[in-house]
Amino acid sequence: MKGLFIKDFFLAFRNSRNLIIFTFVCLIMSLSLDPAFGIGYGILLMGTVALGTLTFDEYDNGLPFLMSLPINARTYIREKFLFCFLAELIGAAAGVLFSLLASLIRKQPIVLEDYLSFAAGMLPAMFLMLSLMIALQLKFGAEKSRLMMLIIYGGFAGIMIFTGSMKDQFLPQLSGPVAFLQRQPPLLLISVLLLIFLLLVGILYRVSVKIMENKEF
Amino acid sequence: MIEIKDLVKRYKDFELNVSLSIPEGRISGLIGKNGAGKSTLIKAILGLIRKDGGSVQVFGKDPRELTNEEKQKIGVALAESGFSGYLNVNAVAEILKNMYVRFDEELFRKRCDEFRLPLDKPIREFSTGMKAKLRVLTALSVNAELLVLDEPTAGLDVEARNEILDMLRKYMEEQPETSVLISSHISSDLENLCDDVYLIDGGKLILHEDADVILSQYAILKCDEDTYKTLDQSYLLRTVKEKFGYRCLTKEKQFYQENYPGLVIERVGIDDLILMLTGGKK
Repeated sequence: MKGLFIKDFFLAFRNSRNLIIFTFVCLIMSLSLDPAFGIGYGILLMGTVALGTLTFDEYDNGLPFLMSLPINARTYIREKFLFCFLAELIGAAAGVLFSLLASLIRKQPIVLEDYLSFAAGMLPAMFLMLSLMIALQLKFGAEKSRLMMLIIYGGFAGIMIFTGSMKDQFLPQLSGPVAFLQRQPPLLLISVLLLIFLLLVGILYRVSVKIMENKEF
Repeated sequence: MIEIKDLVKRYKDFELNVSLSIPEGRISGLIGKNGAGKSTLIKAILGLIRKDGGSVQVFGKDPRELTNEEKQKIGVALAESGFSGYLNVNAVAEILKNMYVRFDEELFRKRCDEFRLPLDKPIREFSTGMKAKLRVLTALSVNAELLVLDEPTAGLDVEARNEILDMLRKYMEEQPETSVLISSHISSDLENLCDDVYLIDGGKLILHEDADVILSQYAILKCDEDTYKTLDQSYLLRTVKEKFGYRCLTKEKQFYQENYPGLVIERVGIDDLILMLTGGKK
């Protein structure tokens, strides 16, 4: 797996210019917009860069050779998930750092706890999205998977608009469950959310492995 | 090393159906026209495709069930697939070092230097010959027990082809216990390299013969219509009618030499075998 990590590292960061641009944009946006902007931006950008290695692997019919190396479908997918998560983690860490820096420069109060909790919330959400993208890209290829993601986003937006328009009907019915959740200790809520996150990532990982195992090169 | 029994792989308009065996320390050539099924067979050996029937065993196991440790014993060079073009040779060396326990980095870098392969230039900027050299060099640098080389010289000029073939010959001299399966549609590449040759056509193996036997026992007989009629045709494998007579393939060169003194008998090259066996009349 180490060899795959090295390959992806070289592919993702082969161009140091990308990193400089990322740092520059992150800093500028954190200074001109909300200081916390860098966190979301960092996670999203690093996730996208990490996902791009999947496209580089497929570039110029590279996968047959890659799969003839001493790796199997499971190792390949495990590495991809880990690499993407680590890349997002680095993006989040860099984002928090930029947010702190922006707060310092703008002479705003430093609220590290807020930044960290924002990063902690963003990270699993974005990783879940990336895990879905990995499965989609393996199944449908880079082009079609982007279309699929657009459809999924569209579906979500549709649901949001629909529930928004029906809020007068829904809200009274939701007040009970919301009050119940508010009564629960935060640690329990976080644990439940974490469990759901791990379950979903686990399912997407299994699906991705299955897709890869069934692929012919 | 490799045991294939009645392997079947079906595509919409093509079916591969072969059996072959490659023992330890043997250099086997797989030859056939483009689209004959060479790459499909190699992909089946490497577990890159699923079979529709029969069995493929590499180191005694189905290739799709080989562990990563077992796969380290196989060196692979594929015709149309290699490391991402966005990587450079330095990155490739780092990757191989961390994937293969027996990767010889020193030798790899030395050979890269000998072949004038730039270490920090993206592979996609390499010429066709440079890419081919890197692919073969990669396969040879992992101290493999089994080498699977699919068309290692395809699309190369004579000089680059010779460089790659010399590299292979040197490797075989240094590591004679390695088993090799090498495919090519250029027969001269295999003539002086292989112990035996498999000829594949239309997804089926139509000949398996030792290279020595091909050179010593096979022959092309050239004769006019009248001579052809007097020939004992029981030893003719294939016959092609030409403008001025017949070209006949036989495995009994000595028989015709002794019994037909005036007959034109020519040495057979693998190219002749391909042309006769895939185009001639039985």
